Amino acid sequence: MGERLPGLPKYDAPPLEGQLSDLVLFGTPDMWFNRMMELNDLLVQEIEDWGKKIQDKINGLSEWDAAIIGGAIGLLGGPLGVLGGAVSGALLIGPVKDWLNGKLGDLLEALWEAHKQVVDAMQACIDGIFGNPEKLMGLGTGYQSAHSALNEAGLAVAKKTDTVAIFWQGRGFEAYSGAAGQQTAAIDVMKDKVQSASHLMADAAGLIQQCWSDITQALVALVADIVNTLLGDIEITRLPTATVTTPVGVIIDGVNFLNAVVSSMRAVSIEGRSSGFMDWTELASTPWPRPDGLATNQYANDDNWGTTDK
Amino acid sequence: MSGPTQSLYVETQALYDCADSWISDAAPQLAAARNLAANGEGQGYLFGVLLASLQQPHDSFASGATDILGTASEVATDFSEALAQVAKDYESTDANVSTLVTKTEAGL
Repeated sequence: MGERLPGLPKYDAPPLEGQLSDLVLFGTPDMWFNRMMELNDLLVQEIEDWGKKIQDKINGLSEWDAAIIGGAIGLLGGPLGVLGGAVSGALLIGPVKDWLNGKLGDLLEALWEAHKQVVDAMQACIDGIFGNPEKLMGLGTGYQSAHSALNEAGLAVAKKTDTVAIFWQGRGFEAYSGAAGQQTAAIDVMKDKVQSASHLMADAAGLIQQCWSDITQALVALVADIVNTLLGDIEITRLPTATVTTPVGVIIDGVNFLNAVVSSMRAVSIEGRSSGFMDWTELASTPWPRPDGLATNQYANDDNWGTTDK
Repeated sequence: MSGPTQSLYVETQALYDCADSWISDAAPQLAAARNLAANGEGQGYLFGVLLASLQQPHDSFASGATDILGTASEVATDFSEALAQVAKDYESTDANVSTLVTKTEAGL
């Protein structure tokens, strides 16, 4: 059950220190879902902070920068062009700020559109692998306990049957011994079945947890890449020609990556539908033991235990 | 065991012990196993969408195991009752034979 998601893109290192420490510890859907939401909240916060940082720079625009930007965006080509230096900057601050605010809006719109794609991909992951490994393991532990209980039952019956054989002879004992042997054989079959079920439950839980870990690790690295890109300082005079190509590119690459993960998840699902399904079907459909009840007519007299005394 | 043993070779106490083991040891353990299997009935949804294909065969297994182990527990109780009845019958038979032997020896 090891390599279920082959070919995951490699990130050099977790860019945000410590974020990978709890990846394999998700036991419940809530834990994993909350981690996904935390990552999304982080992404949202970083985009908002990025926008706020630029907005602050626009609000505090100097006359000198306004003159530079005004020239860059063509506002000095008209009547204002005859003026220069701080004088023209003072006149340009209002129009330049308006223009920059519009530019910032365009940049944020591109970022949020890319973010929406990330959220859609995350939701696809959640929908695709929502399961409950913790409860699956709990059921598996129960099946293992059932195996122990059956073992105890079988040992108790075998021990007492061996003992009674010392004191009881004849057709009565032979009939009892035969019937008891059938019961212990049935117990043995059930022991094997519940033990197999226990192992299959553990396999399924491990499969889901592996997927959660892989996808969360990928998202942690993705968000960290985006955050690092957005953290870079922005020179306000370069905003007219700025694009969000880099952060959006990271996001889009991430979406493509997540799509690859979802594709890998489909492969996991196929594995579940093939080998896992066959294992479970075999377990559920192979002949069940038939513990025969002792109907009253089977016990008629002291040496007529079963049906052998005919 | 007490009493005459000439008619049948049997230690009824051993039969009672064996009967007790079926009802006191085997039946409760089988019932416990049955209850553990029953915990899995209808829980296949826990596999999630990704492994949804396992839901039906798992639930089928849990249901089948619950039925079988429930029956097995009842059968263990039946075994105990039947063994105890055999022991009582042997005791009665021995008592009858003892009475006959006693009467024969007395010339009655």
